[in-house]
Amino acid sequence: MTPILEANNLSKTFAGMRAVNDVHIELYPGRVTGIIGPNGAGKTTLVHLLTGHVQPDMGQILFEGQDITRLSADQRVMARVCRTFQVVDIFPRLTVFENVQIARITREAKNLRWFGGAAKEARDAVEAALEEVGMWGFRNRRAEQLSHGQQRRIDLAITLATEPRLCFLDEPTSGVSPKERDQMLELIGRLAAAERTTFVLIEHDMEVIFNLCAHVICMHRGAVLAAGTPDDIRANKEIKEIYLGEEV
Amino acid sequence: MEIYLYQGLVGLTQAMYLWLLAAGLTIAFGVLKVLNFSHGALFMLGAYFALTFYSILGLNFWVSVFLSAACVALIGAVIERFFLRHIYQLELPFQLLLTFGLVLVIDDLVKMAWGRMFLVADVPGFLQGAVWIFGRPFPNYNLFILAVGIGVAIFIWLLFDKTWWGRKVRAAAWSREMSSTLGLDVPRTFTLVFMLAAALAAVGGALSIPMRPASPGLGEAMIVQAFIVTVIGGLGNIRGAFVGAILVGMLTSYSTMLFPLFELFLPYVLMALVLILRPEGILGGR
Amino acid sequence: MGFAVRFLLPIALILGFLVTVPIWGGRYPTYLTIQIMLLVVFALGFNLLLGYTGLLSFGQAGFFAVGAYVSALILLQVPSLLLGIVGGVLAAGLVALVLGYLSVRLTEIYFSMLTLSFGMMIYSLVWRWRAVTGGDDGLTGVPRAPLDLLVVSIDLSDIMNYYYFVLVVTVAAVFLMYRITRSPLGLTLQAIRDSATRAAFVGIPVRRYRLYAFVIAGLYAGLAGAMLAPLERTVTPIYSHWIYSAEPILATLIGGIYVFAGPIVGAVLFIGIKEIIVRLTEHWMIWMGGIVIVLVLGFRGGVVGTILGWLDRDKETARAEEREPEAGE
Repeated sequence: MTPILEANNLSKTFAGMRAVNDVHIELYPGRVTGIIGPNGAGKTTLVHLLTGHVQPDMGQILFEGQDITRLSADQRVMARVCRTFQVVDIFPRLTVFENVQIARITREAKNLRWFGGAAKEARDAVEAALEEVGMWGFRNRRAEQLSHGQQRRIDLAITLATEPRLCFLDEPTSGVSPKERDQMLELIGRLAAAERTTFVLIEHDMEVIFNLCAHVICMHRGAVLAAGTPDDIRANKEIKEIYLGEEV
Repeated sequence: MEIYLYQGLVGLTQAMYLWLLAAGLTIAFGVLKVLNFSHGALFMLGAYFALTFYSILGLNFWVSVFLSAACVALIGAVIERFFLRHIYQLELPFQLLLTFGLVLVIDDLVKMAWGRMFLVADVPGFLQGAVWIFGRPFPNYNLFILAVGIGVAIFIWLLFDKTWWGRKVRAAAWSREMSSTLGLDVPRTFTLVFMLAAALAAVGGALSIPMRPASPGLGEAMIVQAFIVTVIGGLGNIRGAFVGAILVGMLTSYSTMLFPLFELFLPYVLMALVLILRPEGILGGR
Repeated sequence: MGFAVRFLLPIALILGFLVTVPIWGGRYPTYLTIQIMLLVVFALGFNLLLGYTGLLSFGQAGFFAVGAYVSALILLQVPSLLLGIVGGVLAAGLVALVLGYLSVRLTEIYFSMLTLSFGMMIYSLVWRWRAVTGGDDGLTGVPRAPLDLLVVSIDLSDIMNYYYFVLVVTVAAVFLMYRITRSPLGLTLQAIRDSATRAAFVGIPVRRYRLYAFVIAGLYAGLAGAMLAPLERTVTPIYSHWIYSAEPILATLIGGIYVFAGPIVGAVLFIGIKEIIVRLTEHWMIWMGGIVIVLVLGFRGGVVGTILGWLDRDKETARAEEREPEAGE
């Protein structure tokens, strides 16, 4: 099976410190991958590099065979590589409907229509995306008025509306109640099973990792420490040490 | 050949005034994270206060400069405490709008207090006269200004790199929450930092009075130049402010000599070039 | 039926009123209303940048002045109002394209600094280039040329007639801006305003769309300037000074940044307030500065925004009292 994404010799230095150090990574379609590691391990930076938020100092990124290293973030999204952020980042003054709608409008490349008509644009697709995350009832509320958990769901709906083939979720369950966490897991699991999108999760919550991920990558100090199935990771002594005896 | 070197010295002198203003602007932005549009107005206030103390009240020049800096520092404290403090958590446009409102207020206050006259001052006693450099007389006062500029640069470096207070301030700049848990009185520190920034601008203005007339338009003329300096040097980058000020000062000086018609234009051209080729600033990427 | 009453009726009333101003008003009120309409156009363009795209420009007067000077220069050569105005607008748009390309390269803070700087650059250029712009004397004797449409030539030299010309153009400009804000382009700009990062991660090339907004704002500023030249018959450098850039800023802030009608209401209020203040004191800037500070600290929604906020709050309490807990929460 050919990897959907392959990155080689990826490096990034911030203020004299190597945040990502000569990383090689392969992601396979349809397989949910988890990225774990202690704080400062470089997980988020790695995702920044893969999604175009930050340009690498060195290295190459291939997506579906295409070199996307020089593409900007918005270009990568249009190439169907997307992400959510650890701190929820949505459009606060827009309504829930508009939040997802703008993603659809952009996916359909209709942003340049300037003479009215936004209200009815892409209604069906937006409804489908919002129903998927259970937020259709809130469609006319301003996004800033929602709870944190609800905003995370909107975030996911927006990302899905861009029809990604590869989707990075940065700590999607952080800061939500246990009930919302389970809902989120069920949602991601369902979407992953549909196999239209390949998901990659950055997570600290080990239960999430073991529930959803077929493949786990562990990072430490900017480099890949180990990679394998959840069981491999669970058995790995080095990783246990790094997490200082945490229950794995 | 010598005339070019001489003109370079002249430009370097001009750069020092700009440096004092840009340093204040950069410190205020670096720590408080607010771009103070009214910083040029503070420079102007420094000039007007100094003129009042020196030319009108006849006080000693050094006392005048010091008093002027003190007055503007107090005004800075009032600005930070009663206005800036309320906008730290607002979105950027509102922060800028507030400092813009301050520009309007200060500009008119200056007109009300000092009228629209152009006021000038004489070079203080022992600094009069000139030294022969590169075959032409170079005013002693200019040498003094060069010394002050370099002195301030060293002072700032020492303050923020070597002193305990300076490092506290850098911690506050980096993270408000973290530093208040470390026992730093963040609100008071911010006020003090802004007072320092205001004082720097005021000293620049005060020291400029023997060189150019003070006028109500001085504030915005200076702030526009200070913006060019920070774009070239990188916003929030104090070393960039120094380098940028020197570049702009020298460029303006040389263009006055070589292309008088475009003298006002060339700094903009330089800024545009930096924007195209190296947008983060010459020393940017901080 | 509700739509027609809430929307079209007030507009019809306002237009009806505006149409009658020259009849009962006399020369000065007519002149003043033209000033208001020009500021409406100027401020609407400005607010597309600020309220809808989140970019605060301190240099819009530069484009206003380009529109005014180019329009004046054309009219001094060729007595065709249409040519003068179209020329002014296009010139302003072109300058906005060049300066905008440079200004959107960095973050919003830099953008504001750059627009102030570029605006003052235009000011010093206008001031220095005596040969073309007349320096600080400006251009005088600009004719209020006739409007040459294909079959008919309308004489607009009487200010009363010129008023109707400006009214028609202003209504068209307002309508056009309304359509833009309600379009996918408008929504794209608002997304950029709300979160430039997220907008990029939805696939929007943020810099490019900021440039679009900037050019449209420049075109509107140029239109206002181009219509000013035949009105005043004189164009001077003050129109490019940053103090003049403050006019759309103040008008929009007073009326309300996040509402379409904000700049319109604000333009009326601003000119009204300025007329009053100027009669009482020559220091109108300190009052305007004070108003800005008060608005920023307490009334960021402006007049329209604050009123809408009160109405919304009443509606919300009424609705909350009759609402059941939402399913699916």
